[in-house]
Amino acid sequence: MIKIYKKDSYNSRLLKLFLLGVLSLGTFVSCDKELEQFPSNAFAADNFWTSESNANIALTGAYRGAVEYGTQVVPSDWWTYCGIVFMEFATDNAYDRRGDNSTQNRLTNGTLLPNNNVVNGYWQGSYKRIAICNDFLENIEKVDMEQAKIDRMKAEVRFLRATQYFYLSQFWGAAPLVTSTLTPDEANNVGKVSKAELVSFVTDELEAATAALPSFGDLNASEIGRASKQAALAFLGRLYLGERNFSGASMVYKQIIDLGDNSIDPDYKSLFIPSNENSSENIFSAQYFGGQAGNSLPQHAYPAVASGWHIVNPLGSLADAYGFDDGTPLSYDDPKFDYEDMGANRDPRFRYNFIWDGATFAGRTYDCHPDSSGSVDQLTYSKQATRTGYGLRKFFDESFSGNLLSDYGGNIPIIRYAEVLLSYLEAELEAGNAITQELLDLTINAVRGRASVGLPPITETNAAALRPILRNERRIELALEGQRLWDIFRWGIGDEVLVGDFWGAPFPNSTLYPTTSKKLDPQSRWYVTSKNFREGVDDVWPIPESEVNVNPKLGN
Amino acid sequence: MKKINKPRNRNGCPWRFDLKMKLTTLFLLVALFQVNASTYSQSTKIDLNLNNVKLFDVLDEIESQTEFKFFVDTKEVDLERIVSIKVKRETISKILEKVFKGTNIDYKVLDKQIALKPGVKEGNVDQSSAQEIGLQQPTISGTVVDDTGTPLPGANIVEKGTTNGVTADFDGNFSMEVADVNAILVVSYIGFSTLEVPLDGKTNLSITLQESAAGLDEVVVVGYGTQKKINVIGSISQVSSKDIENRPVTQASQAITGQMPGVTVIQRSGRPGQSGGDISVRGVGSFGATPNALVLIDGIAGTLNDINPDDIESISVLKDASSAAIYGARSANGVILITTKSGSNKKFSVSYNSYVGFNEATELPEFANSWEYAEMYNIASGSNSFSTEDIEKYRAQNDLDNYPNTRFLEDLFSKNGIQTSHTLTVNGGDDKNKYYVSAGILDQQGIVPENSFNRYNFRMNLNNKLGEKFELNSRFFGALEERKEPQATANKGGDFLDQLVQNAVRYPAIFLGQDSQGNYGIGPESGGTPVAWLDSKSYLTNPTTKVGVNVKLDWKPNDDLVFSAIGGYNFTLYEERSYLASQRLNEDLFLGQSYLNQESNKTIFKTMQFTGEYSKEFGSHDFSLLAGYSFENEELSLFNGYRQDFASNDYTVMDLGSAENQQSGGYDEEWALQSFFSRLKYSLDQKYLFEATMRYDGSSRFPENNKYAFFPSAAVGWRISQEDFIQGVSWVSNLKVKASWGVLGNQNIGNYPYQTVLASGRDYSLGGGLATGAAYANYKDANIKWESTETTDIGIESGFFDGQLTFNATYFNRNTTDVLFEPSASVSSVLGVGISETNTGEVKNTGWEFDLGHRGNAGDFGYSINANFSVINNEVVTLGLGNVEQPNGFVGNGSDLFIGYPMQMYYGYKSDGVFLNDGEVDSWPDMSAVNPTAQAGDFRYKDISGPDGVPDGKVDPTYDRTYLGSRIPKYTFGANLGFNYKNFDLSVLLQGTAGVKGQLDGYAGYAFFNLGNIQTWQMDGRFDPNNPVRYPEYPRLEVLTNSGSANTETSDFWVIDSGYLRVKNIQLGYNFPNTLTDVIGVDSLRFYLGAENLHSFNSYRKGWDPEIIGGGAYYPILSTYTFGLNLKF
Repeated sequence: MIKIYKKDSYNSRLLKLFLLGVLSLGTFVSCDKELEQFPSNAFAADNFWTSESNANIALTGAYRGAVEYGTQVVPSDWWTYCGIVFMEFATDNAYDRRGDNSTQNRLTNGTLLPNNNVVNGYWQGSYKRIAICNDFLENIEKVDMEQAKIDRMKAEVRFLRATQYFYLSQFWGAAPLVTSTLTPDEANNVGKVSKAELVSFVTDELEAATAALPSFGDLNASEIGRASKQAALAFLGRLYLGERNFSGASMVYKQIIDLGDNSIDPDYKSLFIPSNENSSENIFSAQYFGGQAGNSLPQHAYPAVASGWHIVNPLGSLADAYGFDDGTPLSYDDPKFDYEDMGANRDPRFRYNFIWDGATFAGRTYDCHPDSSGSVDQLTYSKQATRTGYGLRKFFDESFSGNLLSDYGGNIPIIRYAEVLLSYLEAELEAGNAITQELLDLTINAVRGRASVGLPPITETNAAALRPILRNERRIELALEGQRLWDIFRWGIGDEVLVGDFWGAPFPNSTLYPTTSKKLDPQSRWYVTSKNFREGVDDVWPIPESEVNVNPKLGN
Repeated sequence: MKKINKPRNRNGCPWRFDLKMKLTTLFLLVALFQVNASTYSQSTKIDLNLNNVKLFDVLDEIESQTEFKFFVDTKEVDLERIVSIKVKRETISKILEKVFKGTNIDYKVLDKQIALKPGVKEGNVDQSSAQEIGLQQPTISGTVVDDTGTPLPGANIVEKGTTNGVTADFDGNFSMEVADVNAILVVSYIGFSTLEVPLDGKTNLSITLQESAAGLDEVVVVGYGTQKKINVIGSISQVSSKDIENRPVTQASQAITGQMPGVTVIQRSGRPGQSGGDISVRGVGSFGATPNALVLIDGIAGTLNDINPDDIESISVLKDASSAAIYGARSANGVILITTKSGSNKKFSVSYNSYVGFNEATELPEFANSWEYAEMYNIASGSNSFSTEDIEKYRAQNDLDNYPNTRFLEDLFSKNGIQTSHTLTVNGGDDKNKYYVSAGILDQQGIVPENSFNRYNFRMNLNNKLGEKFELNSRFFGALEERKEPQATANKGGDFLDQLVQNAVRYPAIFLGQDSQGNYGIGPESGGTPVAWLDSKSYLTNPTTKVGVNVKLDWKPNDDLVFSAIGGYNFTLYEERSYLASQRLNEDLFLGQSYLNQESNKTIFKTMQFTGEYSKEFGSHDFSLLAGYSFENEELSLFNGYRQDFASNDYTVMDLGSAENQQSGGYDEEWALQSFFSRLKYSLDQKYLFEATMRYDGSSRFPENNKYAFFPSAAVGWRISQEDFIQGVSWVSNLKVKASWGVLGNQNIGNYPYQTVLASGRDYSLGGGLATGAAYANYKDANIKWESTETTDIGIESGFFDGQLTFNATYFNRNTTDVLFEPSASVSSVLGVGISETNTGEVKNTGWEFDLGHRGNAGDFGYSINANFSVINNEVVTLGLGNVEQPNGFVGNGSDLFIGYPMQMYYGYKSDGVFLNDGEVDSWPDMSAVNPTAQAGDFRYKDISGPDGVPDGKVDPTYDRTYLGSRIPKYTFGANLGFNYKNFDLSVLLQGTAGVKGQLDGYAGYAFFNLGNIQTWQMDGRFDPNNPVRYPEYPRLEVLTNSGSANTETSDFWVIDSGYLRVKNIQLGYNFPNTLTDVIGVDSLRFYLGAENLHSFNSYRKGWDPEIIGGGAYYPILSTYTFGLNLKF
């Protein structure tokens, strides 16, 4: 049959051809290749463990651990500002402005429950860092690099992992010991190991790490923030103190002293601000970097007058532990005490660490008097301002100007040489060794006698008499550095120091105090809270409820 | 049978014709396809060589070789006559002369149409009108309208027993020749009952069709095609443009709320531009992969929220497995097919729809005055933080600078936001080329200053017949959207809801907003208040540009076969610029920080699909087979930048920020899906219906060995009403039973769920700078595979009294297995990392769907009711990995997923009022594991169980928490009521849910939460120790942190009934009578008054819409009151 040319026929044939073409394309040339897709913004595990630079990236990830930036009230890691400083809320050192229902306050006021989110935060943070470390240790040997570098990195990561088990052993006692990466099924079926097993593991790991880590003095500028022999030894010392192995602790601390890389800095205040945060006194610190890895403590703890949220409220109990600058203990009745300026004639560390009514902070006057109803920092139970009459100055560079949430880069010490010296003295004392003046001068007197503090030396060598002096020195020297709760636990003094009423600053001339303060005090101190620490209950943290829910073997 | 057409009658006004001509030139594309064929008959020459064939075959051959169509009256022309013809390159006139030589048949060529009729042979070609050639047959004319008098353009009018028929023009007018004056006309129109009209000698008819509830002729949009509703054996609900038009909804998902059984839309926010809501089809299908329905716009995946509701022709929801199976991989949670309007071959028309209205919150909470707050705070804190004098000063309200009474939330949501919409549509075409072009403008002002959403929509849908065998459907569309919101200042950070709104909920009235000198209050956090922030230069803009092309080419090599190629390309550019300003609050306080975040995310979606369908009738066997291939691919690329410390709030581009700490980031993502599918349909005698579908899908989201999965389905139906034994029952107009079964897939998870990676961004400061870090962060299952849902569906459809009453019922059972779940709450944190999706768990949704329709009229009054009701039982069957046996017998993750209970559940304590005094605590079971310091006014939690399965005298989280309800409504219902009387029409849409719980927590739920405010209901209903009652409306007042207290533990006091019945929409319209519209020269004009979200009946918390849950970072659901008009000419 003869085909006739029609207006559309040519187009039609073209279209047919086209259609047949695409149809066959679809049927025979399928797009299998497009179904293979890989992420662009993460490191594929299969080809990651290949180079030294990648190993460094992973090592950084292990140091980061579970640390999250920005404000937090539930700690994501032991080593965030929240994990360190806010733990003091559970002690006689400070009070959480958010009130008695705050879950930090509830750790020790007799209302601790297994669903406490702070306990859960520390728990999760520990195992998160442990998993990162386990993954690192399982893979690092694959990397083609100098064995010495591998060994050092392994030691650092084993140190990081051991610190987490140190905390777990000290706060929970028995807990799961995980030394390799797990599957979800395995994780849901782990059992607890005894505290002794955890302690033994930490001991071995820290000893091994100590052997392979560089000494503090050998860290170069590009290694600031990384672990040293001294850091590992200091944690080992803590472990021994916690386990009442005082001779072991003493030996370990002596090793640090003998290494000679660290010293007491003459300038106490500067240890906590960026200008001197890399002082050799700061053995190991939580590292912050303004901007993308900033420290939000200023936002959380600045007074209201400086646009902060004033969450950290030093308690009168701590403030009053700072004596006068002549070494005598505080007394409101002593003429050296000045109600108008509580910092006058005081242990200089009181002035370095706190702000009080009438003090100057960041160029502004801090007015927290209960009668100052016009002040944003007025002492009440309602304002977002102090609940005690004191505020925090420690850790702050008052010349800082920037975004309080994210721009501050100040580090927070985790281990200071001052702690090492005080712990060494404690180990010697508790081990029953004779206390010599030389030992006192090497330790406690070096700490309180530093140029910027300048308190007269301690001369008490009787162990029983020295013990309270040492403990008070430790408390005020390390105030708000996250040590107090553990000290209370290991000294077993919770039922002494964490029961009864807690007070703030005295305001004897206030007209509003008598009607506003919830309780009145002969010394006109502001009533803050009452605690009811349960010895034997609150000193061993419960395994978080959410964990027991999925793994009843962890039951408390 | 030879398909025989009749020329169409044209009956247009001269001036309208002119307008059409002008506008036609605008649509060049359309015009290109128009062919001037006046000389076609002269120029077209063909070859024919046919021996001893029927006349029919000769005409058929001519039609196939040319564009001519024959119009034949079969009573007059014997098509069975045997003829022979042999010509070479001959004109059509000569051929016809030869063919009809010796007969009385005359022919006339009109354009490309050739009419054959008995008469005097002339053999001439002329351009005269069709009527002139039908003198010997009766010509009748008439108008087809619906019961409101609205013309029904496109109605089919066929002479009964013949194929002689015409369609009504745009005005509903028709004209046709009939065999004799006593013929019967069969008049039909989609959605209306077919009517038989005996002529009885009349030549001018006015025919009124009744809307058919039975919808026997209704066509339903199904996957890759349409189907007559009567033949549908899947579960498909459809709403047409009629059901959604003139609703002041900014996002189409709001329009379908309450319209269809089994389709639940929960709208949790009225936030302009983000108020779309969650649509779930037949319950929530998964606790793992996102259980969203697949939305296809004209066959291409899209979202409901960027389409102009005025452009929607129909929304069809495929609910069961058999109807959705053709979209296998993505259809497990239902498929929503949107069909946009297309051009018509009728008279050209322009329509203009517009409304103007205003918004306000459906509900707003009421907060205490400043003096009341102060009094209550003293009670809650057990202190005198506010002295009596201060409280008196607040109460006096004569020193507002120092003792203010600021209404933060009321001030924030104070605006009556104006909302306007305009849509202009041009629609028309001819038999070959049709066009639909629309442009829409939507401008919605929020109820917050500086808060708006606007959208410009454009759409051009073209339909072109290319030659005899090809048809091209091209759709071009674009939308420009922009959302604008105010924000808090940089020191607060956060977004609009988190900071501005949530703090307006939170901040008590004692804080100064702005004093008489213009200074701002610094608020409780020294960072200002919402009053200051609203006046700041902070802003968020969120422009989104979307454009797309969707082209479908059909090739019909013969009547039985059609091949289609579909290509789709969607481009989306999502941009966001968020500037948080610095601000002077007062002389002492200048908040100096400022920063800008800007992002630009590009998404390119591409798809190509090829289908072939073969349909054939063999006697009583009706059969069709579809096969196809589809490929989809989406690439996303994200980019963002950050700068801080801007010197001026008036210059907020990236370049003008400080160089310090500037940051940028970006990455790419991609996914792809490839599918092969096939569908077989078969019916016997139009009674027994069968359908089977298979689909084979591959996804980039699964590893090599599990990439592909096979999804089968089948359905059967029996149209009982076609059986002889029921034909005699006149009141039954439709009766069908149907059943279907199938398995569907779901892969709505992240793009790279199985590849083990070290998470980037785990940077840490080492060596004095920020070092790049990465860490093991997620446990990945390298062997994940498809989540699949098996659905069984049994239903009955019925219609009575000629469709005046309809009733449908469906039972369904959806069982989802291999749920792609991230069982993080089921995995111990000892794992140390997050957990990525793994196939674990099973969830079941069973339920019933009913709909009932009725229509009727009494004189000029007409009414219709369409009601639907669904029962959905959602139940977790197993969590697999997360199956942890709790000591209290619950098996699940210990928090919100338990076997045998619905998802999205609340798990907590049962309460029995409060302690009247401290002494009662000792006589109650020991509550120390929940509330160690229980006292008067604290909840008495019930001791419901213990280690031995019986109350153990202790209330503790292990044994005494239980299921309190779910956020998934068990019952959803809706009713569309329509009334008309003369020129008035009224429609009412009612919609509601029941068997559903909600909870307000945080700032929205609790008094004095984290320095928060107190609502009047909390104040008035608080436990008062001086006048203790067992069941107060609010427990003891206490000062709470953001961790709450023992009283804020999840309990049946907080988890409350959030069911409601809502008057979703009311519309009262008036159609101007033709006498008036003719005067002003338009075809139709209607004015209406409307109200959306007019009122809801509920027992939720005072001041809160029952769909709002959460802690106060919310945007109220909006009521919208409108005045609108619909104009057509």
